[in-house]
Amino acid sequence: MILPLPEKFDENEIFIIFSTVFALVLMFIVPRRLSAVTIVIIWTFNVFLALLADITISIKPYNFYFTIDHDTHELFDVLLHFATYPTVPYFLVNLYQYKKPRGLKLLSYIIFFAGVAIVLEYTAVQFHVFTYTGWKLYLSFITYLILFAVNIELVNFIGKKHPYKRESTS
Amino acid sequence: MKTLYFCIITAIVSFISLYILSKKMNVTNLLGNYFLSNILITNTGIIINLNLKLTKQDPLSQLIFWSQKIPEFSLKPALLLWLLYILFSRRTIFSKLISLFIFLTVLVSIEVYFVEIGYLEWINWNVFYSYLRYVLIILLMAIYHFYLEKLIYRTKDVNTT
Repeated sequence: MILPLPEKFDENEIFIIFSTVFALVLMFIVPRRLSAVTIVIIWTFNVFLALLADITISIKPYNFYFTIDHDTHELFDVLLHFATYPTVPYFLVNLYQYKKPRGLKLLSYIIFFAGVAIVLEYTAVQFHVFTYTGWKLYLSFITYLILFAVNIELVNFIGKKHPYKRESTS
Repeated sequence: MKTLYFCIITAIVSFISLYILSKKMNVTNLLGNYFLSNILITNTGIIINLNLKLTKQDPLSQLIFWSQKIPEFSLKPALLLWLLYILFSRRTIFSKLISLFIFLTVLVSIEVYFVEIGYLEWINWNVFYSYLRYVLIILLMAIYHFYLEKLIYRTKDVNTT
């Protein structure tokens, strides 16, 4: 099968659906401070990162963890990569646009969001979305710190070229 | 080991070529398409190899793994991005078709090379399917490029009004 369906529809699939729907609804509720171009780039970038990580360290020869039920790339993996993962970096960069913290405040902001991401990942592990076979939560924390810093750098770069404007053309 | 060094050298050359391309193409579009090309190469690759088991490789060899992984995020995206640039340039349709064939052949040749040196085994896979895979990837990239370009110019119009 091109994209295998879940072995059985249980807690991990329910968790993915619930968290994805919740995050997407929240995205539409929270006021947006990003241009459409920035959103497209940030979203594509984070899908790329998610795939780069999952299809490097979660498969053989490394096999540090596996996602959901299969060793294969299943339908819910696609949902996870394309819709669930990129929502946290979206909120990170969207909220960043409000005050644009600098220096220590920026560092605290990134550490706070990495903490949020770790809580979410820990919850996902409890729901068997991820099963660690060598991976550790603190490694994820370090990874999030780096990735979130890169996300902010990217949004600054794209934001300069395509700034968000609230006014309409009319 | 020689193959791995060769992959690293081609990766460096690929990133230099992408830097040159960034002077010719919109950087935002280039970045977006670089990420998308990686997404599509990885997704199709994993479906073909892991899910459909149409290709096979030694799962425990780190050398084989990295020899194939490095071109996946350097040489292959660079070739696809240069091809995209040519397809959206003001060349004749004949010139574009010739370029399309040449670039796709180079992309397929990378896989054929790995098959030849025993790093990859084609089970129910062949050159024709490989061409189809890259045609699909370049088609999706062209759609993304087209709409992102439209979005970029719309944002510019809004900002200058």
